[in-house]
Amino acid sequence: MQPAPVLCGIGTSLPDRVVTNDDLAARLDTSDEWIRTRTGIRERRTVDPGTATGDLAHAAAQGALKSAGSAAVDLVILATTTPDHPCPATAPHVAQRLGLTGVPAWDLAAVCSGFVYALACASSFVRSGSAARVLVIGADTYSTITDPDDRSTRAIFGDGAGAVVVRAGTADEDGAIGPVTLGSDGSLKDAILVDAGGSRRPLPDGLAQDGRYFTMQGKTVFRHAVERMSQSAEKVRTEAGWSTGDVDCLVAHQANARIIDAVAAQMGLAPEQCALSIERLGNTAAASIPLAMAEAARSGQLRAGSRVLLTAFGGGATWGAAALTWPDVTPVSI
Amino acid sequence: MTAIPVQSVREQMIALLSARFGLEEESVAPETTFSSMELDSLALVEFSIALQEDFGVPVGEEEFTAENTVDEVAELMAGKLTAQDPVG
Repeated sequence: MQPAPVLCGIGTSLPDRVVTNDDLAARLDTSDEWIRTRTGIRERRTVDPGTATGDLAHAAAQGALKSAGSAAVDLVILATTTPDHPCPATAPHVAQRLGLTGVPAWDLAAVCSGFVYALACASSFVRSGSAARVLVIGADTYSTITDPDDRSTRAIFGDGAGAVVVRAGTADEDGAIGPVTLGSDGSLKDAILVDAGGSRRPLPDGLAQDGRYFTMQGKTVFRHAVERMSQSAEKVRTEAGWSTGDVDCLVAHQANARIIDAVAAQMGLAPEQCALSIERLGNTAAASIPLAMAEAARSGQLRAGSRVLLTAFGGGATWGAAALTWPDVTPVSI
Repeated sequence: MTAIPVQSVREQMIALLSARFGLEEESVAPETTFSSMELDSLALVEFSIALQEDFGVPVGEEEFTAENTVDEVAELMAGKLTAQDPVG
């Protein structure tokens, strides 16, 4: 029988530095009230200079391996769009630091949908028998790519990492990952963008820095995020054979509390069915879904057997969703 | 072509505003603007998605602004519904 992918461990890592809305208001033309009503965010974490995405990814991965009760892994996928270096990928170094030298390891760039994309890859490797234990990490440090003077992005993003272990198991056990869907629409490539620094527009020598920072077209992203996240979550819900009433928890990418509210409303779910970590962590990009899952598990919102929908939308544009039952795991924070 | 009455569209819109944004239905009149309901730009995007879902016709958020009234948008929606009515 074909093996089923089963989530069996989860770990998280956050930088110590807390940046509150008042901290931002002290240097930007914004206020705690403006940020809270527009985004639902009160504070976020940011790395200090010298700490990179790979450091957070490594710590979260250590937590996930501890939570899974085994350090055995035969594949590492790191979802990130803030790698330690433009080249090479960050995943091999993270794997090596975990004592996993030799296993295949790569970065996956799907912006805020990265974790769902990586989970989909892991699931496919397990289903095909090509891997038995996959470490899936979502880690980002958007504080390194947002403009310190741009209140619209600076207020939204936070740094962090989350990781899970997906092992080969059976479809009827808690933790089993069921239907997964992915999609993209490159006509929206400019809606979420770091314009310069790639091959289309290399960063010039000298001091000119135009285009180096992350930009986002808020209203366009809001609309497409709500539509794509609700549609893809509904797709996997239907494929899983679940009615709306069967869903215990929606773990949506933590882009903005109002996007999550709107997605829930579109799907006919109550706000209290949504996992929410955005208030304390902001939008942590590829890390947001594992961080929100871990927080929901710690608070008791997610319990063994809970029927969970994951859904995400990110730059590209990309989107994806997955249905799973929650396993009996204890998240480990490092 | 049978024209879709603005009044029925307005009633459905006001019910939607109440359900999605917690507004008292009695507080929303035909001439009420979205800005006076204190709906910000993101809420207007959300409302345009909800309208699209509820009425089954495409609605872009650029098709109305915070300064439009309820009836102006009701007329817009009635026009869209009338145009796509295959029976009338």
